[in-house]
Amino acid sequence: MPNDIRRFHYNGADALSLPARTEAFVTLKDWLGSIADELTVTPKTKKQLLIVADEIFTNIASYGYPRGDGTAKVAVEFDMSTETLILVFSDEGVAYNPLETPPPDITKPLAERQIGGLGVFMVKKIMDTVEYRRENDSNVLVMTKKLVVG
Amino acid sequence: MKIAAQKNDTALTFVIEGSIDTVTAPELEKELKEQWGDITKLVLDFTAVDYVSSAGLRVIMEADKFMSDAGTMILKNVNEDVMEVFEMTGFDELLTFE
Repeated sequence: MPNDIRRFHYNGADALSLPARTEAFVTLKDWLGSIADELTVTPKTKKQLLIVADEIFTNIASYGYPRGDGTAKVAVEFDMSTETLILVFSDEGVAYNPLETPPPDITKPLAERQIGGLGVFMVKKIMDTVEYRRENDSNVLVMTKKLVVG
Repeated sequence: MKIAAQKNDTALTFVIEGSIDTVTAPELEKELKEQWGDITKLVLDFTAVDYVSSAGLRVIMEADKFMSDAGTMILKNVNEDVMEVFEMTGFDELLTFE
């Protein structure tokens, strides 16, 4: 039922559009944090959502646009019938499917660890579903999580 | 994120407040590297740490690498939510908590 889906707007726009640079995460953090507050999710869930946003946005900012400036878009929806949050990241950077990142060996001593892949690993653990598609020269990552709302 | 640093001879304590994320982790890294030169004990007080993303884990890993040669590193007063991130990533097995 489409009527059960609530779309969050940012300054009247359908999605938050950000320069793909690490420091822009502050804007995303504020926006997503205020949505989490509005949905009265638990403090733990709010932190988890901020970690997920951090990991995906950082990947786009770090690797998405090696030849210059670009944009990352974030859309947030809430399916009221299932109490599921839908988080969609898209960018027009180089084709990159984070789900193909090999998982880290989390049993190795820290001194021997490679940090790569840890962010995506956490995203997969925190979210219920994570799906990637390449669409019209864009990377689209759709993630969902059933929320515990208060 | 805010850091209050305290140096006592060769022991360095960082009381960290806020989130250690993609924006703030480089600040923590810079502060650590400026001050860890001759220390043998590093205490990271996590009482007021909100959450840690992989950018923060990377800095903790680097500090652990440095301190494994230089002495000891202790994470103090890690709250439940942050501990869950350490558990999720296997960091809990490798770090020393107090």
